[in-house]
Amino acid sequence: MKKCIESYHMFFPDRIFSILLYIVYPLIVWGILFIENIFVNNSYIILLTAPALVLFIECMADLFVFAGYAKKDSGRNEYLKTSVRYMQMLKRAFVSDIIRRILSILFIIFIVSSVLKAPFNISIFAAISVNFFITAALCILRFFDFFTAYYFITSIILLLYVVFCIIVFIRNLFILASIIMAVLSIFLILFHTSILFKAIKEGYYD
Amino acid sequence: MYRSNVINIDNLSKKFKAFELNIPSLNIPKGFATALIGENGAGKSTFINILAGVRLDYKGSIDYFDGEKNEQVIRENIGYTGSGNYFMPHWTVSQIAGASELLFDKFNRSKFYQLCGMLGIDVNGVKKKNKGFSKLSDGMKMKVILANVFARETKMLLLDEPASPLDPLMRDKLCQMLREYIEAGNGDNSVLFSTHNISDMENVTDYAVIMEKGKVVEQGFVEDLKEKYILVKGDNEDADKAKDILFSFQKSNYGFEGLCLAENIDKLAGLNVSKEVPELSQISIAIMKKYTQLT
Repeated sequence: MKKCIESYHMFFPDRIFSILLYIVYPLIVWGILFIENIFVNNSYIILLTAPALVLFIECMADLFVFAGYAKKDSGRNEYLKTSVRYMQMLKRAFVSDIIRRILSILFIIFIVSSVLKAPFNISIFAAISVNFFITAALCILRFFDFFTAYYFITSIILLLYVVFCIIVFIRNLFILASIIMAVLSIFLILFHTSILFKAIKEGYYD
Repeated sequence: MYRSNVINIDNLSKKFKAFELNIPSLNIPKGFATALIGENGAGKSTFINILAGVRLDYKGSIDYFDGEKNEQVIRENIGYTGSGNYFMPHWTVSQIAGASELLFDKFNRSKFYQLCGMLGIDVNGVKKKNKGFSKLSDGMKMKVILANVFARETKMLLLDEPASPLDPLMRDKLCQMLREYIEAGNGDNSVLFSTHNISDMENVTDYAVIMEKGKVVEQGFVEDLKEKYILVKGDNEDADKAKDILFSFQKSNYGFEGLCLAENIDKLAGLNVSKEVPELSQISIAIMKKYTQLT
């Protein structure tokens, strides 16, 4: 566990980033929702704003951690490549990232849900769907390593997510959508991880 | 005298679009410092990257440490310094230490900090300012890389241009560190380094491998090379006769000089020439010039 966290933190730009990711980011989301709550009197809208904010922050934060890792040889791993533990370290870091993200999503959304006294099925849907959309976004984002691409792709994914939420909300498909997205998330995570490792292995070749 | 090798290479090749590294056979002697010499684009970095495991896209076989097959043991015992994007750009000195502990078994953090201090890297300053590796000067970068590599327990160092970004004092310090490393191993520790600063690194070089256009054109112990090639100097009146005999030839207003193969030295009999033992840099430059002209 300790090695997983240490491996993950090796990819963080600095300590300030850790503070932002672990402490400031949930506070920002809750703060925005608190302000929104003053002006908007609909708990569904507030509840679905939370995952949208989470999606945006999670995707943009990845720019500072694993940006470009799905590209063939990101070109910054010469030292890491000389160790047979490089892959193990990366595996630990990626797994830690997935777990950290899921925990963050659950923590943020369920605090919001409990404050708003939102129905459980909607809270579950919000958490599962945003995790799916973030994973889908990262599958694309990690082929890039610059801000504009991250910002543009994240914005598009965010728009798709909002449209998707509206459809699910209108048709009241929260449970069905949650089940489908949970299954798809697992496949997507496995698929994405295999793409990343393939790219990293290819970095040893021309 | 029997000498074992730390690396045995058989039919190593790596093709690029406009360049091919092709080494049919090469042995790097164990317990010595081997200099890899060659002009830019000769294939030195590619060769060292292949040996260090940074690139795996090659053909042929490389045998490390008397036939050791365990990849983990091989990589643990090799310390490598590169010239490109070596560490993650944001890594501070303490993050480098943390990463090295995760990546290698025999990394000694306190030795790393001690070496950083010895090489003039203000560890506390760098830590406090959270100064990332990419923000350091080229010389500082190399110092951190060297401190990191010497803080590990290894049996072989593969150093790609370690001296280039260093000032003359640090180059001298590097030579001393390499010498101490080899002596500490009691014949088990070896070093292979590429260099353009042949003169600066000559006093630490035991064995030299000279590469040109992806091929090894000369190799041998420095003492043997100094016996194989003789530096000849003479007056201009003998220049034309000597030119055809000499391996390398250079003429000026004051006379000529060049290297002569020891086997041809008798052919210079009757000419008014002086003979000297050449420096490794003179041998290397003569060989590089020769092969550049040929191709």
